[in-house]
Amino acid sequence: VRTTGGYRKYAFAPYVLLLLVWAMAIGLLAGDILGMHDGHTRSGGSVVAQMQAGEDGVQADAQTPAPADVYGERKPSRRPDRERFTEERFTLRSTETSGLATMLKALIFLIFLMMFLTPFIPGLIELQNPTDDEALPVDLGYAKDPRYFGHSFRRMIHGAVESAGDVEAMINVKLSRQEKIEIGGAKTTAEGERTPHVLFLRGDLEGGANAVFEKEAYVQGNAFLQANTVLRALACDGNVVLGPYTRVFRWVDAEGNVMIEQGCHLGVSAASAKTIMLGPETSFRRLFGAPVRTHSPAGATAKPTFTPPPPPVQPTNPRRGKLRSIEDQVEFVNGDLTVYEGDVVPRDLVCRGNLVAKDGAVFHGTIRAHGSAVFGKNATVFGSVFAEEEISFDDDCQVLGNVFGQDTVFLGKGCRIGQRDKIKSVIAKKAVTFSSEVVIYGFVLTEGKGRVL
Amino acid sequence: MAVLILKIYLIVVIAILLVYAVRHFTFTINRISGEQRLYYQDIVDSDYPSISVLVPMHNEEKVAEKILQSLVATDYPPDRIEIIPINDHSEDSTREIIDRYAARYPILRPLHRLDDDDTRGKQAALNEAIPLCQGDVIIVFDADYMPQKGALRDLAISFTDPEVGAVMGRVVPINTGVNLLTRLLDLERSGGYQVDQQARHNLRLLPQYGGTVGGFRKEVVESMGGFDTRVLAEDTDLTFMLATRGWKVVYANRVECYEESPENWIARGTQIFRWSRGHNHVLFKHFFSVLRTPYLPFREKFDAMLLLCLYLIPFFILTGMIDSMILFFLGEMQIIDSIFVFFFVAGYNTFGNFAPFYQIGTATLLDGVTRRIRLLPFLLFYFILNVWTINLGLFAAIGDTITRREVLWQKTERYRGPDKNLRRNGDDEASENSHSQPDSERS
Repeated sequence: VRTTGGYRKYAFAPYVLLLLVWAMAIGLLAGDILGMHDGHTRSGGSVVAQMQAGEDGVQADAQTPAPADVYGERKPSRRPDRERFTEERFTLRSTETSGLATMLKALIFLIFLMMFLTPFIPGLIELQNPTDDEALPVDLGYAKDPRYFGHSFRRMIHGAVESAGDVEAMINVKLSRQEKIEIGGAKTTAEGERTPHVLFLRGDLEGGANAVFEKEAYVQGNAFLQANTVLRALACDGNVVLGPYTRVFRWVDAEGNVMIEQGCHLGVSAASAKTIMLGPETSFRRLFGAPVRTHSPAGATAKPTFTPPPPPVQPTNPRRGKLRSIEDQVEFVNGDLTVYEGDVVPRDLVCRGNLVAKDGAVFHGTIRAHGSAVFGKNATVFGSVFAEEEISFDDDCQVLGNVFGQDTVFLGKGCRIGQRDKIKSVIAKKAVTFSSEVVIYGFVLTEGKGRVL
Repeated sequence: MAVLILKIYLIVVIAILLVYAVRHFTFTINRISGEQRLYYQDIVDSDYPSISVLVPMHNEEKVAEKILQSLVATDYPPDRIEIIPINDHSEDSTREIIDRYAARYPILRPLHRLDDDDTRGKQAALNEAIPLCQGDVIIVFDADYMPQKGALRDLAISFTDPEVGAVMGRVVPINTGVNLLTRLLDLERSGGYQVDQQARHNLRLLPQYGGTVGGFRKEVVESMGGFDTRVLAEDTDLTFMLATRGWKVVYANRVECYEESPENWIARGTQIFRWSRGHNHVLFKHFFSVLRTPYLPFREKFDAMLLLCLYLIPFFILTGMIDSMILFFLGEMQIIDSIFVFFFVAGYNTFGNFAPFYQIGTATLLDGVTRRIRLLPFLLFYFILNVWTINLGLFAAIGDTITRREVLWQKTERYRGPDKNLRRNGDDEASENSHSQPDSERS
């Protein structure tokens, strides 16, 4: 039997039913109001009739003897009693019905109708004169760019100063709002100097200590900012040095290297096409660099260049092509798991509890933990790490893929994420904490607080 | 005795509606003030999985060009993607449009289904295309959809998590302002995705793969023997197949994609009828496997069962109403405290639609378009359509299950002309603007 459904032939039925129900309801109400009811109505009927019948029934009950079965006699059928009560009720009501009662009923009906219809009035107005009938805005051109701020601002400035030509001047242009832009070559600001306008410099920028840049700056040379600088945003085509305890409100983006000294606050984003070196006590929310590095303590010896081990070989699934469940595709543990020192997990791992990996554990695939994932020293993961709770790596761990946590991520001293010439991410919802000598090839993001110890 | 049964049934209906009330209210509270889980979209990675994008098309000349243009403009690494438009026995110019694009873009590998003996319908088209796919991940778009430039990256990246079996993006109606129906559908879609699906993702329950703006692992679906051509809701079928076998379905609220809503009540009724028929067929198919599966903890299993039985609610409402009327006319309605009757009425008004009014209100708040909730009372009329058509679909599904008959896919009518409804939504910028704000700045 082939069937396409046959919906259409029944499509109007609910509306016919609806009309009938409404017609019936209105008819009953109208009948009540106009006093057209008769004694045939029993306990059903309109709401008004029911209400009144209930009230009258109480009076009738008071005058009615107790049921016969209370005295152990044969229980009579209820039906004659009910009919008798009904007769009495409607007899009583008929005699009491007056013009006032009819008006009251009409009023109740009108109030009901008004209360029912009132919520539709704003909607009817909206339908007649639409004020909010556009489709939800979807940016069809949306594509992820970890250096969005820098790229976007450069485009905006280039567009704004194009007409000014190769001059040094102060111009008024409209960016997101009307702004003053200082166009210049190199610039040096004195200690504590405030710059209240947007800067566009074709040379270098050297800021004195405690300088304040209230607006964005685009520097085509290098930017060297001394200690305690306050900066809204900086796009730089060269290298950037942020002195100790610099505060960035929005973002920093550089084509060259970015050196960030102790105690800086990096605002929403710090990005570079090259290396970002983070000093101790730096706080951040988003980083992008190739790579992002954290400081080395004085006297520390440089670590050898990181070379990824050969690609892991995942054993062939004996039931490949016949996946009956996820267990045929990954190592599946329905609870907590401890991987001991020197153990190797040969393929992807799904752990529906907490994962503890002791020193030197090796994972050839990606890890997914429903709880926390805690790794001892020198653990190696060839894939990525996903966890719902804390992810923590002790010193000198290596992950070739991404690290993604719904809680916090901690990278111990000397940890390395990703590999040269590739981009990987470290993402944690609540917090990211890096120790010293950490290297991340790519992107770092947290909605909470990111900091370097 | 009969009266007693009717009374018990009414109490059962009220209890069921209360359970759903708590469920949907929990979702709404979660979206307003609960912990929001991250989706994988923020991952920046140079290694994306290889993907095959399937676009089933049957007489889609009105929309074919738009979806193909959107897909070839994607920022997905070209060496990791193939696009397979499936021409499923089209009788209009769909084939010519596909061939024209295939000649210009090498990543397009069309599949023309022309044999009269072919099984028709979306599931059959997908089944024929899946073995031809070279990607590890299959992404599916219906022909009337318009994906964002970065949508494929954001969908595919979720499969770096080995537990993810399928991913679903958000559907946004584009023809919102056409008439009352499209405006109500817009409200319903907002509530369903912005609140319901996202809350299920947040609470680690079971978001539903919706058959479009989403993807799945090729190997997993192949090993399950492809899609069941007897089930009209192949998306729901896949959701429960994955859930009962240990894979997760995740929801990507950020991956927004325009779709075209039905513009007349008959077309919408036909669509709902198909959904109900398919979903209820899935209910009969997976009811016991969901109960038995060891891969779902109790909390997830309970919610999965509620999701599975979602299209039974209109049946309970309808029969509950009939039941209550019978009891009323028998004078036996005073069986429970009036507060329960209130819940019944509240449930009746609330759950006839796919998203209760408070979900819709919250969704419009989150989307920043609150003035449109003035149309909320009109959902009462939409409710009538839903109750009726879903019940018809339920009976059809019972027939399908008993007779094991073959069912035919009924395509939803398309309304769009080449440029209709696009001007106000930034579509013109799609081809030239490759960068836009990161997620955290959008809010």
